[in-house]
Amino acid sequence: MELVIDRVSKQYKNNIAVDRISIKLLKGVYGLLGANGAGKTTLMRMICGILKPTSGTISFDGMDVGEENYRSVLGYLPQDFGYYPEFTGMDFLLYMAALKGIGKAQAKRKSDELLQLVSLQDVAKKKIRTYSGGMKQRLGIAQALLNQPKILILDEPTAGLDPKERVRFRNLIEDWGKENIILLSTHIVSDIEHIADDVLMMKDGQLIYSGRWDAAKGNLEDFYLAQFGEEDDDE
Amino acid sequence: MNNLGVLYRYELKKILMRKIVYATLAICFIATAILLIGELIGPYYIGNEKVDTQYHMFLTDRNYQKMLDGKEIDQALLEETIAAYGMIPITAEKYSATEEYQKYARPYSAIFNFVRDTTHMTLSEVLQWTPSLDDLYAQRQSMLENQWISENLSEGEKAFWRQKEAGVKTPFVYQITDSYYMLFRAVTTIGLLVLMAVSICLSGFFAEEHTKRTDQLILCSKHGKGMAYWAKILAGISFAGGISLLLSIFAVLVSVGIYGTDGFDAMFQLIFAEYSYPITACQAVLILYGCVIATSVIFSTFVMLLSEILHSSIATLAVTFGMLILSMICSIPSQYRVLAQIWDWLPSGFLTPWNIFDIRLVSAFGHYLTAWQAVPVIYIFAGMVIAAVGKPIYRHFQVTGR
Repeated sequence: MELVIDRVSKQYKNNIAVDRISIKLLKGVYGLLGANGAGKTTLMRMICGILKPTSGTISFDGMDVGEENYRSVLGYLPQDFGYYPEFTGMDFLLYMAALKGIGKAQAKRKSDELLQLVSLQDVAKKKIRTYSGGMKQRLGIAQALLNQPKILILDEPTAGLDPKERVRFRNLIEDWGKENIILLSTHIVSDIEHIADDVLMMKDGQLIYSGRWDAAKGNLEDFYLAQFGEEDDDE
Repeated sequence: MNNLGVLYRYELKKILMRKIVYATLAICFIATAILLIGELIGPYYIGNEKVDTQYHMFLTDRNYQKMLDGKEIDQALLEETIAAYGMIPITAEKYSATEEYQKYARPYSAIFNFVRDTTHMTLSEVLQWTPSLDDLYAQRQSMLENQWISENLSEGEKAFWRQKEAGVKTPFVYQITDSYYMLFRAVTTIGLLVLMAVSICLSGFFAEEHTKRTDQLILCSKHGKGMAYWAKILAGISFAGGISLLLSIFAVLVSVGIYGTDGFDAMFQLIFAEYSYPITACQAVLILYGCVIATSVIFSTFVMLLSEILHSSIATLAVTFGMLILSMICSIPSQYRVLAQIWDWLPSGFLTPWNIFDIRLVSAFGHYLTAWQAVPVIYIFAGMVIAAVGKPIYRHFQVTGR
């Protein structure tokens, strides 16, 4: 199981959002850190095939990012995305399951299971417009897991979650990461410290750090602040 | 796993869960009812004088029509009609206000109007006319030939219509056709209402996936770039077809409910004398409202394509409404035959009785096809092309910014 990002760049007119990033992701949890505008979301969108790189390739076990087979093993939680306010939580998951190519019976079973997992089983029949921000975020996490993805891309997944939910989420990710590739971005350095096996740090579109982080290297937050300094205060 | 059916249901749900859909449909139904009932409401004036109510006028005329219903329009009936109208003093400023009209002529007004429509004679010409069945049909033929010349028909087209005219059952038998006549007249407004409703309800169908940011989830899923698109297109098409069918059925029910089903098998020429195709009034109504459904379907694919290209429901609405308004206020002179025909047959302007029953034809594989035969087929192909054009635009959408 190998997600290969090979010399991937994304340029918008004069602005280089992602600059020749190459990395191989194996099973495990990867924490992506970076200030606003560092290129994290752009990189994640390219990995999800919803944004075409200006150059470079992304593939998973030989499958190109543009292929349907690639998308069938992908789970994605965008940073900021919309819902259908008139759908119920269950409707939303069943709709997403159909998009992911999951059969009716399995979709129902899986949706029930995931709603339970994210503690939304009691509001499954309620319309999403009645959900709080945290509930919507949990529903977003549930949809990302519907197809049991081998590649799970989570952009700011802990935003809006209360401390208890955050701990539950960390445990969930930890389990999932044992058998799959998870790439998550967050502003909360402690989340990365607790969940991620590897740390990826981006600055100005480039990968400035990639690898394991252990206590011997010092405090991750200090290192992060040293890299970004005042820049990060804006986030 | 083929989930097209499930996706289709959810896409339909997305459309039907919007309040604007019900508000728009309510307006369409109310407007249709008013359109068909409105003529029977209120006072009837001659000049500035209120002489009766519209409803009583309708009942009076209906009673006279019943006396004529089923009668062959033969020499005797023509003579009776002209004689009855001859009773009206020639000095009368407004003939319908005279006692003679009310007493003698009004019972024959349906036949009198038929003669005028069939021959294009002016009022004074009919009053001075020596009634003759042969002359009636000779004048009808002359009226048709003049129409064919003014529309720049080719010799082949003229031959086609001569052949069709020969198939029209004559002498005509008068039948009450109020219900079908009202539906015939209402098709332009109902068609416009349907197209406006399709624009309003579907202008955000693709655009809102982008503005609501749900596109990211859809496009990165297995079927998000293929099956999801077709499910959306199918949902949009069936919504448009569905509302046009519902509104058509409603219009028929209202019209039949008020004016009755009489004239079911009457020759269409009693309603639209300028047309030579041998069809009944009921068949003509089916053709008219079938065209409304076909037009709404192609129009929906166009609205959805615009919605995907422009990423804005307001911009889509502006363009489609602009097209509808343009088709109402602009026309191409008939001497530019091909351009005028294309313009008149565009979905935005096609839904009028004179376009659906256009005498200009289309030649295909050695045969001539009428507008109502050719246009729905052209629309099906055009709809498929529009949907196919939209697919790569949808598929290659790039999620940026935000």
